Amino acid sequence: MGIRPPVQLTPSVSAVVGSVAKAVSWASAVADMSDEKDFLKGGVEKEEEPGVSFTGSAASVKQAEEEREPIKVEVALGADGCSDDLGCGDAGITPDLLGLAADEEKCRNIRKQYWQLIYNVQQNRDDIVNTASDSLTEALEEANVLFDGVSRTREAALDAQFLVLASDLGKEKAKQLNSNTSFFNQVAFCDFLFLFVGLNWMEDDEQDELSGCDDNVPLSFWETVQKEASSWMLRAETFHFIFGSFKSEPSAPKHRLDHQKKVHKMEENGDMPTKLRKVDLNSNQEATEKEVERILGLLQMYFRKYPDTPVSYFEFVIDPNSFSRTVENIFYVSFIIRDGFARIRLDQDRLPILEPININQMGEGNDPSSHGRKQGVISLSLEDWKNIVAAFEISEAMITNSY
Amino acid sequence: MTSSHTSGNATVEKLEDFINNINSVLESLYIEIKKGVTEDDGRPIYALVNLATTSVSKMASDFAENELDLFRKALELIIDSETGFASSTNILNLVDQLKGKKMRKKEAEQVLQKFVQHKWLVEKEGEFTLHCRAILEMEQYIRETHPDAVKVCDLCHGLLIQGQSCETCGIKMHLPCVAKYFQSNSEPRCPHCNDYWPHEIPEVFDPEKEREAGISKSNKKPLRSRQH
Repeated sequence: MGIRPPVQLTPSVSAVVGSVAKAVSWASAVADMSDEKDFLKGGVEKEEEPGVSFTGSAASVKQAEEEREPIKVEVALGADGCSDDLGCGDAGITPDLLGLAADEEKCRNIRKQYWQLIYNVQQNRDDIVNTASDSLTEALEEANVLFDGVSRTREAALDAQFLVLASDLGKEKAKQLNSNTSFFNQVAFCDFLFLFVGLNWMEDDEQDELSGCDDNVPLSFWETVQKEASSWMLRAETFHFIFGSFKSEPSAPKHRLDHQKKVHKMEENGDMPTKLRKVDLNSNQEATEKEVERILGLLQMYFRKYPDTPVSYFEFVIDPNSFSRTVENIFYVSFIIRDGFARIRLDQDRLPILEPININQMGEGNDPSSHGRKQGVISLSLEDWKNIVAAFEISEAMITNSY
Repeated sequence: MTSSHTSGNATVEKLEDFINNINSVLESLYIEIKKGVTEDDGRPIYALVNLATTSVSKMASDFAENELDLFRKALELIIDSETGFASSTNILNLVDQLKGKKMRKKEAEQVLQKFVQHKWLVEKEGEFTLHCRAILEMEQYIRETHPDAVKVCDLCHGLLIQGQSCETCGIKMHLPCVAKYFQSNSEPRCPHCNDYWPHEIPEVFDPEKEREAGISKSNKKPLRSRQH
């Protein structure tokens, strides 16, 4: 924006004025860049201030022209911004110049502080960007405070420089912030999972705890997770089948025929053992019956030979050569008596004798049941048998062997 | 899966249409929902079965090669048996002849239990037979590979694994077929040879009774739960 100079100026002064005007416009442009109200205020203030300093400098320039050259230079320098090597102790300094000098001291101070601030921020750049600290905000607030004292464009320019730096850092921080929101912390998730399942192993000091657990712990862990997860997912059941998983072999039918033949053979074999068994069972009983019949035959033959003479039981039954045969004979004779083919009774000497029963007698209702059940037990020990053999002088068995 | 019941038959027809619609779409994939009847109590079932042997179907299996071979051997034993049941001992004795990785007898027991769990086999007092789902899926395979050993029901001409047989003429019938044929017949006679039918006639499956029994039992947890 243009400021009409209140006085006519020499070309050198006009150059100075031009540069000052440029600085002012630049300062206002900087003010437009920033969003902060303070800065705008400062910008507004700056518009006024340069005017004051301008007139001041213009006045001093005029004076300098009238008086001495060096002052002009000094004033020129002063118009651009306070210079550090301005000698204020020169003769002929008007009160305005003194005021200027005080300003310059202040400005130097401010500039020094700005440079310090910028340096600090640049040094701590990594710190500010990476940590979640307020250091950037603090630096900005410091710059704000400093800016209140800014009256020249030079300081304003420094302030602008600092702002550029601060906004760069801010942008970096913002970038980091965005990536942080989508960052997945796996370790934290695992810990939360364990808590969810109920395994508080964050509290355990021993790191080997988990490896020492039995199989049920991981099983129950996955079951709990599955229960929760499956309620959030819609899943169709997979198709399970068996047909089509293997080739159907054409050789199978041949296999089958063999199988059938084997089966038939098995059955035939199966028949034989049963038959044999039947024979065995029968033979046992048949053997007994055969023996009984044989002995009955012998007894009857004896009775036919010697009719009406009952045979001594012991003589008939005992085999002097074999005790076991004797026992068998007693066994078979008991069958004969049971079936009613012979009778046993005691004779006058109180010794048992065997008498035959005629078939006629049997037919006359003399069946065993009418006699009533009479049971006798004959016990014969080895000693008894020997004694009987000796007493009866039995030399040979009456019941001969069939084998 | 059993048909849902409301009063009236319209719902049942809708189910048939529903299934036919699905089947028409699945045809190109050689998959079908087949309807069958369980051999032991005559309950109607629907099963999703695979119909074709393709390069894809050979790859996608739940079971390893030796496990599939075990299933095949068990299947053979079941078909050859008189009663339709193969004893676990007989199946386990074939474990040494299996193709693929060598399987121990103990592993084989577990594999058989896996088959029972996945509803391919049914176990009853130490003997195994085919689950009705397996019969529906493997019927074609069985007829192709064991054409002479296959038993057929005299009434419905369907594949027969378990059933009753006539002592004199040897024909066999499914238990639910017997129940339906001799329903309210005081003197059951063999349809072939007219001899007296010697076995106990089972009862026809009654879905009403089944529902009552189901209500008294605790509800099974659904496989897919979207909410707790």
